[in-house]
Formats: sequence, C-alpha cells, structure tokens
Amino acid sequence: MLTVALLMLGCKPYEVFLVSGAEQVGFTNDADILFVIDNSDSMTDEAEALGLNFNTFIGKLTSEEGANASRQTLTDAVSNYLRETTDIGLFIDYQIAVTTTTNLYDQGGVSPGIDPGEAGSLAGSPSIINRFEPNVESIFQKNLLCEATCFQPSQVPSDPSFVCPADPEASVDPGGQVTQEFLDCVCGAGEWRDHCGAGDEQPIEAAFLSLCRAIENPPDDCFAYEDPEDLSEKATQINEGDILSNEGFLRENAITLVVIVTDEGDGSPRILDGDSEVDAYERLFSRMPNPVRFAVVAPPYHDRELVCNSGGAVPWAVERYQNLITTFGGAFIDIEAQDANGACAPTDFSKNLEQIGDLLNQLSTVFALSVVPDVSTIEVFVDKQAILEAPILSGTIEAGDAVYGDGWSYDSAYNAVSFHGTAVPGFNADVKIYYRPVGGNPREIPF
Amino acid sequence: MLLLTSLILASSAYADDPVDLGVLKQSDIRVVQRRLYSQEDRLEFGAHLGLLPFDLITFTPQVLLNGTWHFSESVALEGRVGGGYGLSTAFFEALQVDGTVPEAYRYLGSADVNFQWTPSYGKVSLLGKRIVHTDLYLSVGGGITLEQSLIPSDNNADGDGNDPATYPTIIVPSIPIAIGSHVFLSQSSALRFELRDTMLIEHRVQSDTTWFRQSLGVSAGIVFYGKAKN
Repeated sequence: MLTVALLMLGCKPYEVFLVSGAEQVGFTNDADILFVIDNSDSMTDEAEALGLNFNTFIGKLTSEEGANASRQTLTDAVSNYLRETTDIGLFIDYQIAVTTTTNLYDQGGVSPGIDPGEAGSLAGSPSIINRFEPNVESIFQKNLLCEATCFQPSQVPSDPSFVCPADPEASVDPGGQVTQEFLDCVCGAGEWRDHCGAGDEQPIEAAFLSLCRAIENPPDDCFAYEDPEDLSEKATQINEGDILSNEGFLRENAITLVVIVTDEGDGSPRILDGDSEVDAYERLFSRMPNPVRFAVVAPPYHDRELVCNSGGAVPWAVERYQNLITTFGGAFIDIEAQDANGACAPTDFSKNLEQIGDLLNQLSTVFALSVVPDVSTIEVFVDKQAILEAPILSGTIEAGDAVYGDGWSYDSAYNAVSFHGTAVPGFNADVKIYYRPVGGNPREIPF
Repeated sequence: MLLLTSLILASSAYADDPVDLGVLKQSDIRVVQRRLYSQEDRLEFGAHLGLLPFDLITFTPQVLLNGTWHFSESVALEGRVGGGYGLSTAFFEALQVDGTVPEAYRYLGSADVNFQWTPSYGKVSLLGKRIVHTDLYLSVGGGITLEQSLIPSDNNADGDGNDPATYPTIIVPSIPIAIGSHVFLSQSSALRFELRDTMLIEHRVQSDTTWFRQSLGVSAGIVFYGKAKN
C-alpha cells in the first residue's frame, strides 16, 4: 500500500529551462539582406531617399579589410581578433537583394506577368549584390530605382545639365536628387517608368515567397495556402518552375535580414483582414534554412495609435509589423515623424539606414531569446566556457548609456543577451544560453 | 528352547508398544522439510550490475557492491555502495534541439544501509530436471545518493576567460525499498536479483527547488557467503 502510494507520488516533475543556441548554428558573419520595397505611388520620395542614403548603410558594414581580414600571421590574427571583437560589424560578409511588396503582379508593373521584383522575385541585374562588387551602392541604387520604385514621370524633376558618364560601369552621382536624366542614365532611357505595383501591399508574403524562390526544396506552403477568408486552398504566385529563381541568395549558415520599407500596413493573404497576429508566418519562416530577422520602416504606431499616416494605413495592418519584430527579433523604425509643430514629414533615411546597420551589427553580438527570461537564472556558455554577467563600467541601464566590461548583459528591449568586449563570441562559436522563462515551466515533461 | 522363548517374547514386546507413524498429509506440509542453504550467522558479500532504465531523461548503468550480515534466516542488515553514470537519452537530446532542457540530475553514486526481511524460502523445479532453492526478501533502508545536474553552471567561474562549464553535484537523502531473490548455487554462493525503488529528496540548485523523485532500478549479481559463526 505504502509502495503504491509512493509510486503514485513519484511523477518525476522537472523544472524546465530553455536553451537558446542549440537551434542556431551560432554566430556567423554572413548576412543575407532582403529589401522589400513598397512600390506603390505614394512611396516615391521614400524610395529615392533610400537610394540616395544607401552609402550610410554600406559604411556601417564595410571596412578596408572587409570580411577577408588577414589571419596569415600571428600578429595579423591578434590585431584582427581585437578588431573583430570590438568592431564586429565591419567584418560582416553581406549580400543584398531587392524585391517589392507587390504579389498581385497582374495589378501593376510593366507586363501582366511577373516582372522582376514582383511575387518575391528579385529586381535588377545582378540581382544579388555581394560586398565584393566594385560599386555596391550604385548597383543597389539601380536595382531599387529602376525596377522597384514607382515614379510618376510628371513628378520627377528634370535637370538638362546632368551629364551621364560614358563608361557604363562608372558610378553615377545623382547630385543629391533623382532626376529624369539621372534615371535615364542609370536605367536606360525611359526604363524606369511603369514600375508601379499593386495597391495591396503584402510585404511579409513577398519576403516569404522570395526566400521560397531561393531554396532547392521549398515547403509546400510556398506553392499553396489556405485562404483564411474562405478556408479554400489557393495557389500562391509561384510554381514549381520558380524553384531556385533566386538561387544564391540564401547562403548556408547565414542570417537572413528582411528590411521592409513601406508607408502602408501589411495585407498578406494568409492572415485574416483585421488580424494583427503573425503566427501563420512565424511557422512559415521557421521552415527556412536560416534564422530570419526583420527591420521594418513603416508608419509610426505608438500606444496603439497611428501618429503620421500619409499612406492611409490601418492600425491592425501596421501592428503586424510590430508583432513580426516581437516574434523574430529586429527593429521597427518610423518612416515619418512629427515635428515640433505637429506636422508629419519623412524621417531621415540616412539615420534609418544607420539604425538598420546597427541592427545588423547587433545580430553579431546579440543573441535573441525566444521567451522573456527570469534574468537571475540566465547562464551563458561559449564553446563550453562560462561567461559571466558584464559589470557596468559607467552610465546606467535606465538612462540607456551603460558601458559594459567584458561579459554579457540582458537587453529587455530586444529580449536578447548582448555580449561585450572580449566575451563577444567568435564567428561560428558554439553559444548556449540557459534560462528559466519568467512565466514558469514552458512545458511539462511526462513521466 | 530358551532362544525360542526369547524370540516369542521379544516379538510380543513390539506388538505391545506400537509406534504409529501416521500419514503425512499434503496440507500438513508448511515448510521446506530440509533447508539446504542456510544464511543464518553468515556474511554475504557480492557484486552486481544494475540499470536505472525507467527514466525519460537518463539511462544509467550501475555497479553495486553489498555486504550483508544475516542475523537469522529471515533478518539481515545490509550495507551497499554503488557507482554509475547517467547517460542522457535521445528524448533529452531531442528536447535540447527543441530549445528546452529539464533540470534533471544524473546518478553518479550511492551508499545505503538496509534492513532485510526474508519471509520466504522455497524450492523450484526447473523443467522437472533440477531443484533450485530460492528465497524472496524485502528490504527498506536509508542512504545518500550523489547526483550531477545535466545543465551546466557558471557557479565556479571567476571571469578570467578560462572557466570551463561545470555541472553542479548534489548529495541527496534517499530511501530505497526493494524486493529481491537469492537463487542458491552452492553453500557459498548465490545469484541475486533485485527490483529497487529509490525515493530521493532532491534540492535542485539551479532552480532552487526541492522535489521528491523516484528512481526505479533492476540489478543482477553474484554473492558469496562466509562460514557460519557456529
């Protein structure tokens, strides 16, 4: 009797810790960056600003040595180790591509079929820009402005004095503004016209389809989905023939950063209209080979209210972006801001791009957690070595100016563990972070 | 004549004082008539191989040593030490890949003292060709178990950049209860089989929680007997 009673008591309950890192390949300096550009006609100014300020972004990611810093000699290795650990973003081996928010390709574009940049296809040629291209900024400008931006010719200024370089490979300086002559020079005469996309922006779906096109064995969801509006199965905008049409964009063990730039909310078709939750896409992106993070430049949505809304976005559709950031990690950046008089104006894209560059740098020093942790239970190991919590050398966390010594710190804004100083893991290090969720056991372990 | 008379008288005396052996009925047989293998006043010592297989998180092979003093055929006091290593199971590895790790502890060693009661001794016929003598005992006791967390800790780190991950160990009180059997091979040796449930009171250091846990194990070994005192 006693034995039976004791056996019944012995249900072996376990406290369960979460471990981050086991599901990731560890830190990598490879970043595949996909810009998803809203090519509706209200976005012309923002797309121009993006193109004209792109050098800021590249500057954040480029060093003289690039990702091929010398490690030939011990001295090289030591000096570059110090640089990599203190300025790790400069060693990111990036590649960049551009697509648009247009999935309903028959509602816009040059032809009734899928034009470059539509339905997840990549714009431009070469459509994948890597850091070793001689003119990364120029190629990006061309791909963006020539095939992913909606220009109304009547609204593009003319500058007859503009001189187009004779060498087609030469970098073209727009001189601070995008003119018809500049576009003719970069894109070819008139080639920049008629790239206006659908009014129903679907950036999340576009990003997903773009990744689908880049992998050899896309999941079935890439080709069909259940329409939540009428629960029937519908085909997506791609088919078997589109497999590997974005070949080379997703590299093994790289981080995928999707940068959405739009003045509208998201109208992706796998979520019911009015629903701001992104569970359906959380499942889909988790099937991609590499971890995906998002940076979204979109209408400002603070305290459940749209502050500036020149694009006519609806709150639930913008809230999707914020849920996307919460789910996957990343950054939400306002595309417009109010000035002192309450008037709305586009934000400074050089700063926006700097912020995205910082985010990318942080991807190399910040390890996102999937659940909010009980901070006192966090334990961090890199290559089986224990890393201690970093001391604060100056400033405070509350003021946001804390300067840390070597070790790790918890960043509640990103729900992530940040590494500092010599504790920053080397590329492809084995990083494991154990913690208990603040809400208690995440699951029950059966007897 | 005298001889003849004597024989008659003698015979007559038998008849006058009969010994009635009676009939031994089946229902009268309550004990083994002849206990071939006695344990009373003898020291038993042995070595065993064990397994703790009934756990989702760890699978533990064990080696156990016992020393048992039999006060009588039915009462004994036993000391036992064991060592082993809890290997993590495929289920545990799958959980890790899934991003969760139970705060489980692996078995490393144990020592306990047990009171043993042997209420049963019997003979078993094996295929009708051989008689095997066995007993059945129950035991209960108390002891300690050494366990190690499966989750690494930075408790011993000093931040000098050379702090290998350590795995906390704990010593927990345990209450083992068991049922087992000796299968006697000779006057000096026996095989011994046992099913043991060890109840543990674990204080798990990383979550700072205390849990009652059971660990069910099986073992098989060989024991030897010293000479009886008398």
